[in-house]
Amino acid sequence: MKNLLKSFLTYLLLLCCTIGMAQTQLFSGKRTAGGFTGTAEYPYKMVDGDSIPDGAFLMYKSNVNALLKEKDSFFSFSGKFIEGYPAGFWKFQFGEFSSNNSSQVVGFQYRVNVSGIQNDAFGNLSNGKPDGDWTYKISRIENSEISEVLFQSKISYDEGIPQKSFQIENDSTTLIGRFLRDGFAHDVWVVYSDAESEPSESWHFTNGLLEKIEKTSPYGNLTLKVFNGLSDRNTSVVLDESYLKVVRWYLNKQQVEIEPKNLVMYQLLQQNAAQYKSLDDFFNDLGKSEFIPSFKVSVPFYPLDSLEIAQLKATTEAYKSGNEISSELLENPQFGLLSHSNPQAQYYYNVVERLHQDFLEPLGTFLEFDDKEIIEFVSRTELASQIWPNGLPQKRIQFSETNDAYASWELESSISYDTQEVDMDAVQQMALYAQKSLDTISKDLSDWLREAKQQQQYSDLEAQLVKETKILEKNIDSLAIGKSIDIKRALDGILETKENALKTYAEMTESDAKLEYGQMTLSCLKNLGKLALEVAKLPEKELIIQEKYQDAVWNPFTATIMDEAVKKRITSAYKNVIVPYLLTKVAEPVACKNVSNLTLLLDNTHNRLLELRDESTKKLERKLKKEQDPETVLELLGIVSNPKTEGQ
Amino acid sequence: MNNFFRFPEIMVFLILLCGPSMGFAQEENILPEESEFKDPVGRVWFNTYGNIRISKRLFWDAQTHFRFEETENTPFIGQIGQIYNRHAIGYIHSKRFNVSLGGVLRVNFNTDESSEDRNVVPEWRIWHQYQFAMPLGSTMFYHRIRIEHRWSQGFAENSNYIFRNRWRYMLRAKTPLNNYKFEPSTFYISPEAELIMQSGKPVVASPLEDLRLTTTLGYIITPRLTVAGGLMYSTGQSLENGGIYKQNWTFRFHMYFSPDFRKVKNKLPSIHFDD
Repeated sequence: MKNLLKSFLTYLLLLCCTIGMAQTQLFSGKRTAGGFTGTAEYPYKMVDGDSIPDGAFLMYKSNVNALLKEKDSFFSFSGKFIEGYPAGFWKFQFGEFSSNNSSQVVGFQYRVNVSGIQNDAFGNLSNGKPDGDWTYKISRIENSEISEVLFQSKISYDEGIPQKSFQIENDSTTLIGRFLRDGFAHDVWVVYSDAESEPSESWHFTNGLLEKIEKTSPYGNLTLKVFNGLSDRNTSVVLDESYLKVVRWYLNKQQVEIEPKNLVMYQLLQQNAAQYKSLDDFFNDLGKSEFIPSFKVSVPFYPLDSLEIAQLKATTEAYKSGNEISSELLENPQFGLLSHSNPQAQYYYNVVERLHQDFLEPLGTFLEFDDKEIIEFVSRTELASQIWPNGLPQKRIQFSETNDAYASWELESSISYDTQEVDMDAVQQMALYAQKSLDTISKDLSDWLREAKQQQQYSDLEAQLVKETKILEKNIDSLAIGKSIDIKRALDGILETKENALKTYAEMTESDAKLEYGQMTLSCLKNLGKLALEVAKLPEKELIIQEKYQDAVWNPFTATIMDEAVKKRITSAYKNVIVPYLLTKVAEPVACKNVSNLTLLLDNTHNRLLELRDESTKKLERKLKKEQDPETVLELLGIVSNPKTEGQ
Repeated sequence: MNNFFRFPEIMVFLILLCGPSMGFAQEENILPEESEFKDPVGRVWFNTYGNIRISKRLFWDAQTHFRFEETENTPFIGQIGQIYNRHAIGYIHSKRFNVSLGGVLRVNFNTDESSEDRNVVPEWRIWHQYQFAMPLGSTMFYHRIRIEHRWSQGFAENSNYIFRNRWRYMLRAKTPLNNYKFEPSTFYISPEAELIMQSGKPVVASPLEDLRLTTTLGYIITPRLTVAGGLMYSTGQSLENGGIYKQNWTFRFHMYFSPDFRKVKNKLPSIHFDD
C-alpha cells in the first residue's frame, strides 16, 4: 500500500516535472550507479547521444525476502538533477540490515525489527557542489533503534568551499576546526578524545599554513613545528594524503618519527573523504559533480626549473630501468641457485644486491617525491641530504680488502659524480652509473642464465618423462593380465615405442630441438597410455559387437528363441582382418606421431561397426567377400583416419 | 502368457484316443494262448523335417522320410521300405502351442522278396496335429497329439483300400547337454515315447498299432539347421492277429531345417509373437 502510494506520488512528481519539457524522456527501470544497483525513476534528456538526467530523481532497492532469509543490502536515494548536475536537496540512505525473524502486526502492516548499519547523508547541492550544511552519519542499528553513532560529519559549504566551523566525529574522537571564507584552514583544529576533556591533538593553522602540531602523549606533550618561517613562498594545496606526506617529511626532518596513523586528525579527515567519495562516484555515474570537498591549506613552495625537470626525468628513467634489471636478477631462481655454487655468480649476485640497496633504494625514496608530485614543496638539497646523509655511494663497491677479482666492483665508464656535493646532477649521474652497471652485469649473465634455465627445463621435463613412463609401464603391466597373445604383443609394441622415443631423446645433444622432442615424447607417453587402454579394451569391444550383431530367431523344433549371428561378413572382416591388422600395427611398433591416429582409428572402427549393424549392408557384404586387404576393408566399411598414409 | 500347455485340452485328446479301441474281438484269426513276439526287424530311417515360415503365424510343414528295412538279402541298412511325404500348413498360436493340418502320401515298397505282388503301392492320409511345449528349467517337454485318417492297401493286385484312424500321442523331452539353453553349437539329448493306437472296421483285436521308445542325440548347427540321430525300439499288434506283436529296432537320422524367406522388415517384429 505504502509502496503503491510512493510509486503514485513519484509518478505525479515526474509527470509534473516533465510537462512542458521538450525532448525529455522518462527512465524507469534497473540502473547501476556508484556501485548501487536498483530501480531508478527519473527524467532525462538526450544531448549529443548522452542521456543527461534532468528533474526529480529516485533510486531504491530493498528486498524483504532477503532480509527475512539472511540480510538485505538496501538503499534509497532521492534528489534532483538540473542539466546533469545534482542540485537542491538530496537525501541518501543505505546500509545492510538483518532481522531476527520475529514480526508484529501494527495497524495494517507487518512490522519486523532490523539490526545492522545505516548510512545517512543529506544536504543541498548547487551545480554539483555541496552548498549549505551537509551531514553524513553512520549509525549502528539494533532492533530498529540507533544504538551507536559510528561516524558523523557536519560541514558547511558555499558552492563547494567549506565554510566556518565543521565537526567530524567517530565513535571515540571528535575533530572541530574552522575555515576562512576562501576555504583555507585557519586557527586551531582540535581533536578531543571522548575520554578526555583536554584536546589530544591540535593543529595550528595561519591562513592555511600549518605552523605547529601539539599532541599529548604518554611521554608528555609534544610541540612539533611544521612550516613555520621556512620559505618566503607558499602555495595552496588540498589537504590530502600527499599534503600529509609533506607534513610527515618536515616532521621527520626534525628527527620526529611520526606515522600518519598516529595522527588522529588525518584519520578522521580520510574517513570523511572516503564517505564523500562514494557519493561523488554515484553522482558522476549519473551526471556531473564535484562533490569531494577541498579543504585548502598552504605549503612552502620550491618550484622546479626546466633543468631540474629534465634531470628528474632522466634520473627516473635510469632508476626504472636499473630497478627492473636488479629486481629481475634478484628474483631469478637460477641466479639465486647459481650464486650458491659458483663464486663468480656469487660475486655478481652481491654486486647486484649492493647496487640495489645502496644506489636504487634511496633513489626510489627520492623519486617518490616527484612521483607523488610533492617535490616542489620540499627543498631538493635538504631532501637529498636527508636521504643520503653520508653522501652518495662510491662508484667502487668494495667487498673485501684482498686483491682478487671478486674483491670489488667498479664499472669502467666516463660517468663521474661528486659523492659529497649532493645535487640533482650528482643524483642523476649516480642513477646512470647504477643503471649501466646493472645492464653490464645482466649482459654478462645472460648466456649463463639462459643455460641454467635450460638445465632447469631439462630436469623438469625429465622428471615428468620418468613419471609418465612409470605410469605407462604400470598400466600396461596390469592391462596385460589375462589377455590374448596378440594383445600382449601389441602392448609390448607400445612399450617398444616408448623405449624408442626415450632412447632417441637420450641420444640427442642438448639443444632447443631436444627440448622440443622431449615435450613431444611426453605427450607421446600420455597418448601411448590411451592407446594401451584402447588395445586392452578390444576383447570387451569385440564382445559388444558380437552381441550387437545378433538377431533373435524362432526355432520351431525346440520352440525357443535363439540368437543368430547376422552380417557375418562384416563381423568376420572386423574380427579376422581389421583387429589383427591394427594389433600388428601397434606391435610393429607404431611411431610416436601416429599413436593418436591409431587410437582414434581403433575407436572409430568400433563406432562404425556399431553403426553398420543398423544400416543396409547387402552391397557392402558382397564386396567384403574374400577381401583380405585390411586397408581396403577399412575403406569399404567407411572408416576414416588412415595411419598408413602417414608412413612409419 | 496364456500359451502354456492346458491340462483339460490334453485330457480330451487322450479320451478320444483311447475310447474307440475298446470292446472288439477277432473272429477269423484265432488268438494264440499267449502273446507271440516276432523277431525284431532292423530298420534305418533318414528323415528330413522342414518348417518354412510363410507369414507371421503360418508355416509350411514339409517332411520327407526315407525308410529302409533289412531283408534276408540286404542286412543292416536294408532296402527301401517307404518313401514318405508329409505336408501341412501349421499355425503358430504362441510359443507354446501350434497346430497343423495336411496330407500324407506314403509310397510303400514291397520288401517281401518272395512276393509276386505289386512292388509299389501308395497310401493316403489326412492328418492334424496339436503340439504343446513346456519349459522346465533348461529342459523342454513337448506333448504331441497327432490324428491321422488313413487309406491303405495291400500289395496284392486289385486289393481294396482299407480305412483306419490313427490316434497318436507322443511325449518328448529335449535337454541341452553342453549349454544351459538351446542355441547354436548345442548338443541335446531327446528321449521320447509315442503311443499309436488305431481304430476302424478292419481293426478288430489290434488297437495298439505301435509303441515307440526313442532316444536321440541332436546338435544345433544354427537356429535354422539341426541334425540328430538316435535309436528307436518299437512294438505293436499286427492287424491280422492281435496276439502277435511285431518288433523293430530302428536307427533314425534327422535333419531339421527352418528357412525363413520373408523380408527382414516383416520378420523382425514377429519373432516374439504376442509377448
